[in-house]
Amino acid sequence: MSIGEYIRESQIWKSIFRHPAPYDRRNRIVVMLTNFFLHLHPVSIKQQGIALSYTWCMGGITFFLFLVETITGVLLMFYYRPTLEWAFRDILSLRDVQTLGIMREIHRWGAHAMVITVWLHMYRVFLTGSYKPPREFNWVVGVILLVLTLLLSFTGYLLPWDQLAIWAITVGSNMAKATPFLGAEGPGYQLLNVGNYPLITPISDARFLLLGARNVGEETLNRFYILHCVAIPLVVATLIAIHFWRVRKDGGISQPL
Amino acid sequence: MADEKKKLSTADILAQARAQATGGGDGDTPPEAPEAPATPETPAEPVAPSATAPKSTSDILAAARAQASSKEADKPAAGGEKPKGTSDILAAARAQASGGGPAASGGAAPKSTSDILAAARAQSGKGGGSAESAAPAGKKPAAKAAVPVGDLPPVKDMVEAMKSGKTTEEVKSGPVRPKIPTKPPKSPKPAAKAKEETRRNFLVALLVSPFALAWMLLTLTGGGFVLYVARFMMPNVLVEPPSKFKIGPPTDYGMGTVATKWKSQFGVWVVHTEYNGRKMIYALASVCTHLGCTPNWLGGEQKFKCPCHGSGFYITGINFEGPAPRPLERVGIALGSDGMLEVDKSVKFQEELGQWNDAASFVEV
Repeated sequence: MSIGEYIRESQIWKSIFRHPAPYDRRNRIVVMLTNFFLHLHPVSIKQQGIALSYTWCMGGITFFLFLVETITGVLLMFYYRPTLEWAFRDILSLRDVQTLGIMREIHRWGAHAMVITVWLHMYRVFLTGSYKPPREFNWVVGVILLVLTLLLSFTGYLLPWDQLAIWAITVGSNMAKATPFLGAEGPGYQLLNVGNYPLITPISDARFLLLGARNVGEETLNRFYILHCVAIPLVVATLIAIHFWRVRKDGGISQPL
Repeated sequence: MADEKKKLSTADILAQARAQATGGGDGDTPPEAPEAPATPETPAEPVAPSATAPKSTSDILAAARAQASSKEADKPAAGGEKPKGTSDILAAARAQASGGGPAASGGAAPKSTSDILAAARAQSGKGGGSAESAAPAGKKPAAKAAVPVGDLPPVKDMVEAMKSGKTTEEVKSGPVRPKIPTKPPKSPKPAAKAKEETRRNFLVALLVSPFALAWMLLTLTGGGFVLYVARFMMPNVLVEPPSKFKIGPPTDYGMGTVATKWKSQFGVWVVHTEYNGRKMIYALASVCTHLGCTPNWLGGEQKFKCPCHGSGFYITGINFEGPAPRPLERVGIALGSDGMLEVDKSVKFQEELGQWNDAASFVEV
């Protein structure tokens, strides 16, 4: 028999791929449903569901960019140290010393592109009325994902630790200072006093929680690093899973109800 | 996949069942039949829906499997027709139903699928059979194997009966196991006590049972942990330059000058000038009042100028151009007992609140 057949008949192969490649409808269903990765997809979708002029494919492209960002981000983590001493220099070395020097560029451009595609996706969903009942919940999940995408951009912006980064985060976090109730210089923070004990002070308000210090410094760099690389991506991944699941359950992509 | 001798594939079973249902015992020869067609089975296949409409897929499959295993894969002789689809079977059943008149609806020809199936079930289940505990049995699919569903005898009984070639009536009269006498209908109260929720059960479940205890503990622990995390995220120790620091004697600061030498380390300018007719030294915090950037002192133009958005401040700290809404803030300054000026950044004085009159905000020289 041919080498291909020999491999496909071997016990190792059969232990990994339990079923042969789909050759008829029933076998396709079996393959899809018993595969860990494939069973996340429906077995088949309607052809009109992938009509580009209708869906723009922006949701799919956003997800693809999220994967690109995750992979390039993890790779960047091998050569970046989030300390005052090294952060800026490591970013430079990613450009000057590492092979090709474009990993950081891919990550940065991918981030910009992801924000754009997220907005386009939101716009398309709005134009096609795909937020109407019973899809309202999925729209809300999508909005939360949008906010988290912007937060990812915000936290990631600080990590190069250059002038642009420091001042952008300073200005941005000063807004947290002025938040109603939760900001030490905003309106209404006195309402949160426990008796005479102030709960919201410059060292216990929303801005302090965000920065980890009174001003943007080393603690902020570390905090934003963890938020950017671990905390927010975990939440985003969970919400993406819910978002896709709801698309399926609400009738499939671009399908009438 | 199919074992040719003992088991048939699902397609085979369904084909057999269809053939049985329509041919009244005559069956098709399925394509994969290894044996020659044997004599047709008698129509009295127990529970096999030979004369009535097929009851359900699982019934059909059970019937066919029993049939196949008992006959060593013999196939009933076929009428030579193609295997029929579901709609054909139902059409045949409808014809039968209108001709034979299953009595469930009093002889009116049932039209819908559910009518046909219900009629067929009613017809075959008319003998009563084992005890029916209606509601509880209906709820539990696991009980289906051992407890009769509706009017039918237990599935297990039916399968065994088919194996031994009995009729429906014989099964229902309980050949395999002693007939269970029909229980009197249960009174609502005992049923409720056994299975349904009462207020008492609810409160017990909520407050007393081990589950309640476990859930309460989990909730409390979880809530406590969330609060702990919120507190955890606020550091208790801040590594900052000290807020009080000495900056040398007043003679270090000439009249009309702005000292920038402490700006990078402590974030203050030390200004010696005349303000409101008085000569004084004060310290201005190097934080723009617009959005927090660090302005620069432009000696040539005698103004503080913020590079971010162009806010401009006089030597006194008063804002006069750009988006800054208010003057720069002063910080505490005092003359120490050793003759050194001491700056205290932990207190601030804002001009727009009238705090620049406070003696702690300047040192008169």
